[in-house]
Amino acid sequence: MTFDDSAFNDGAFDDIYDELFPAIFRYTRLRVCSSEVEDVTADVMVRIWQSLDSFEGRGSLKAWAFAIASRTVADYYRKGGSKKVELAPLSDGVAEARDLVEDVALAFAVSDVMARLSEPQAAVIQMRLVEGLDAEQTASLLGMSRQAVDSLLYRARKKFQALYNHVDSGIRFSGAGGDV
Amino acid sequence: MRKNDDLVRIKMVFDCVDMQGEIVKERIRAMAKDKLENMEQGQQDSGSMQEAAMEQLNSDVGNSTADRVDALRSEEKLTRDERQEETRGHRGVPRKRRGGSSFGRKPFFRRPWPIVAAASLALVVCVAGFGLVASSGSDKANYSPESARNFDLFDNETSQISPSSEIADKALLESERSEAGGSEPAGQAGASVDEAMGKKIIYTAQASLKVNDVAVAMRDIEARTVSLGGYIAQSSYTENDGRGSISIKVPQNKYTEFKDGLALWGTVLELKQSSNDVGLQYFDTEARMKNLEAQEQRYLEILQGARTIDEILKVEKSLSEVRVKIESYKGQLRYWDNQVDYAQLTLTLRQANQDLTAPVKDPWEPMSFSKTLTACKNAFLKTISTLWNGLNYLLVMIAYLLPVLVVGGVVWAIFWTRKRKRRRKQQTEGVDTD
Repeated sequence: MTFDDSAFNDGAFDDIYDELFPAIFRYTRLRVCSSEVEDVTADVMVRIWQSLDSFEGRGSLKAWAFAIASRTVADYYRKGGSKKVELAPLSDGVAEARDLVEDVALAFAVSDVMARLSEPQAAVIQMRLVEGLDAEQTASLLGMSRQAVDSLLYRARKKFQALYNHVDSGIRFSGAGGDV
Repeated sequence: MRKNDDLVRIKMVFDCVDMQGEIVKERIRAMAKDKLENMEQGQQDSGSMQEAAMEQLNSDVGNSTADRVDALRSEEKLTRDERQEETRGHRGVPRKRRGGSSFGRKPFFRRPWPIVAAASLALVVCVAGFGLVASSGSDKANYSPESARNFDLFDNETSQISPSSEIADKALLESERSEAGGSEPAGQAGASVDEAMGKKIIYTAQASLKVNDVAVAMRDIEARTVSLGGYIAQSSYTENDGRGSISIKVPQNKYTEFKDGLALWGTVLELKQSSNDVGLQYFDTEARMKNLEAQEQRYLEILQGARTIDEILKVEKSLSEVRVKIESYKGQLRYWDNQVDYAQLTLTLRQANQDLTAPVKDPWEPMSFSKTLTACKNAFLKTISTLWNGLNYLLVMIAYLLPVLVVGGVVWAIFWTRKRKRRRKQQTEGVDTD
């Protein structure tokens, strides 16, 4: 993976893009409002491509990419005058959420619940439970110790459960559809 | 259970994000490529635009990994500088100035360089290219209130012009047309598939068998099931009461063969068979699914043409609705396929009555005479210990009863003394009257 002007046209960019896009989009979508998310995601991908040479294969590419994503998102907030990164629920760009399919509506409702976690809590949930990074990688990404990551994850899940149970009455939980 | 519920829900959110991501993926790719191309253009025009971007990256300190990545990046920058020098033939560019500490520098957009012009040009091109009205120029739309307002404004625009409702109407119209015209080919397909694949019949059977040896019979049944290409769905065997039950799935074409062979293992006490023809529902569902898939395809085509995130979300909403339905139909069809392909048999096995003529294992099992003395000693000790224990228990029982005995004794004593007094009184009175 070396930077080369011709590599850009050879599809090396596409390879990197295809590999990292889902994870990066998962990261940005939950932190940037829906009208801006495409722009910010493109920025992240550009930065990843530009600094790809600095990745030397130590640790996971994904974790390294998340470090860039988190700084790009932080920059985006800084330009907006805010120092703190906030969570954007999935439903933020949808005008009439009530018309949604039940499953999507439920996902939106859950994401609303998730958006009430703190940003590091959501990050630790994503890194550890969804992206499959290990505690070590997550720790260096979030700039804390391993133990702190473990306890943060524990508290994040507890808080999510508590918040979810609290609003559970408002959410209809649909079964898994079909008779199978 | 509680513990994994939250995982399921969280995964659901990310699945939803993935779905949205799939839709905008190609557009963002084009945006990123455009940005890169513009940056390279700007780099050639005014020095090192890329370096500026890198510096912006370098100026972001805050993560612990930042140090590591920064260290790596500065190395990388050096090599890149070398490359740039080579390509341009400028051998003597002072490296120190470029690679030096970048932490104290001004942010990228405030640098009084032609970069500003190049950057805003690049962004304007991006923005114009992708119709993102909300974000403009070098001061990209701010988060929260401002962006929310932008979005509202944008929403109003769409409601006036309503391209999205047009899109939705178009999709609806097309889907209706397809449903009206689609029923015929679907019917045809159903008929031809019916002929080609035979009927969709689910066979199930329950049997109870009396066998000589339950364990052996179960092993045989399992082996036979596997050899016929079937599998064991569930099985249980209890040694104590000599009962076993086994639920198996055999390929439909082997069903009759298997059923007829049941008598090999023992007496068939009961056999219940049933069949259920799901052909009508099956092909109906299949046709509906094909229609929906065509509809999904059209939505995807519409999505390709959608320009704004609001439009996308609206189309996506319909799309996900269609997809959920397709998934549910698919699941139903898979379920039926499995049910039709494999007949289900549930067998209950019972031990036949003990055969009295069966040979006795080890009829003569004498006790060793050398152990008789030990046995006698044990017997004697057992009796002694039983007696001793009995005595102990008696004492304990008395202890339990003691309070009751005391109270009872006191009460009895009172009554007895009163009775005696009264009798004595009567006697003395009798004496007096006499």
